Amino acid sequence: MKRFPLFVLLGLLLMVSCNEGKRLPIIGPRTTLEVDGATDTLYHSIPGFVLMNQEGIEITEEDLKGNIVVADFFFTTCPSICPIMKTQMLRVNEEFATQEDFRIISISIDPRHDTIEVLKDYSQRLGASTAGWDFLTGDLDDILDLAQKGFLVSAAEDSTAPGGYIHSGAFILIDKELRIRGFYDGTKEEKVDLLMRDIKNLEAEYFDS
Amino acid sequence: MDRSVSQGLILYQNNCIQCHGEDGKGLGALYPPLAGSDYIDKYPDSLACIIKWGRRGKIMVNGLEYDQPMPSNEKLLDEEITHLINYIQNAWGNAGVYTSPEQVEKGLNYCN
Ligand code: HEC
Repeated sequence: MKRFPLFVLLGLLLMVSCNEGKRLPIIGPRTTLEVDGATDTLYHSIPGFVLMNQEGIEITEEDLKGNIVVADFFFTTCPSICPIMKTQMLRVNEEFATQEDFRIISISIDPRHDTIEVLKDYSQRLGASTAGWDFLTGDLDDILDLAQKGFLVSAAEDSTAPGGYIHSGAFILIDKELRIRGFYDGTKEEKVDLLMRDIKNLEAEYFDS
Repeated sequence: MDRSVSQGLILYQNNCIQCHGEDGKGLGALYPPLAGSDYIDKYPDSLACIIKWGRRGKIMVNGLEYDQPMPSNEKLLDEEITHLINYIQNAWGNAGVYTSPEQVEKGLNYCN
């Protein structure tokens, strides 16, 4: 049997790990299917939903498909982490505003208060260039379900929390096939820097292939 | 006095910075600025009540109308409110006036 010198093996390993490092992970539970003797991996993806944006336009998962999407959960009267998250999301918005195939969705977890009109006023006051930034409202149970089972982040009513809800401060990076590719702490500037770098890496993935 | 301002900075970081910002400039038309705020200049006696009980309804600051609820800070002691007022009155090139705990205590009797 032919022996590979150690350094060749190490070199091969390094090459493999470098390539892997460039690609973002695909996050979430996965299932393997046997199709005609070949195995196929099914990745977790954002399930179907129907919500309304600040213009009163229906937005579904179909509208996201084919776009790189950054998502977060918030509510307009949130006193604690949301204002910082929105300051950081504005940075992402400014950096990628003019880009095609890129969208931001901010989903309210207090839809009873955050009606279409409230979200419209909020987005204008925030100064968001709303061309590619949807603020979404809808049925409370649907939204909490979507957060937990779809976007894999926590969100719940809790009367002891400031503002009445607990929720994750994560920015969630979604690829063009609706798969989750990363979570970033939306309250930390340096994590949002990472997110912006990863958005570019994700774009490169589509460009290369 | 400087000690009050530096304590006020810490309280500001813990209770206010997320909305009014490190630079005191607020956020868009959602959260009003404290840096260079004409409201603070015009109504210095209202600051204690705003900090302690929050505020609701429309408010004009530097010619812009704001209308979001500011949450209350009922747990803050009168002394801490004094530090906060001294901080926002002296940071970012603001007027530089000082408030005493007695003034704050008195002011808090007249909150509406
Ligand atoms: C959740 C966001 C939020 C937090 C936290 C917050 N504020 Fe405010 N603040 C507001 C909003 C919104 C208004 C305008 C309220 C209105 O429309 O009635 C305001 C108004 C004010 C005003 C009067 C208007 C001006 O800009 O001069 C002062 C002074 C003020 N805040 C100080 C503070 C201080 C000091 C703290 C920390 C103890 C604090 N705020 C914490 C959101 C916030």
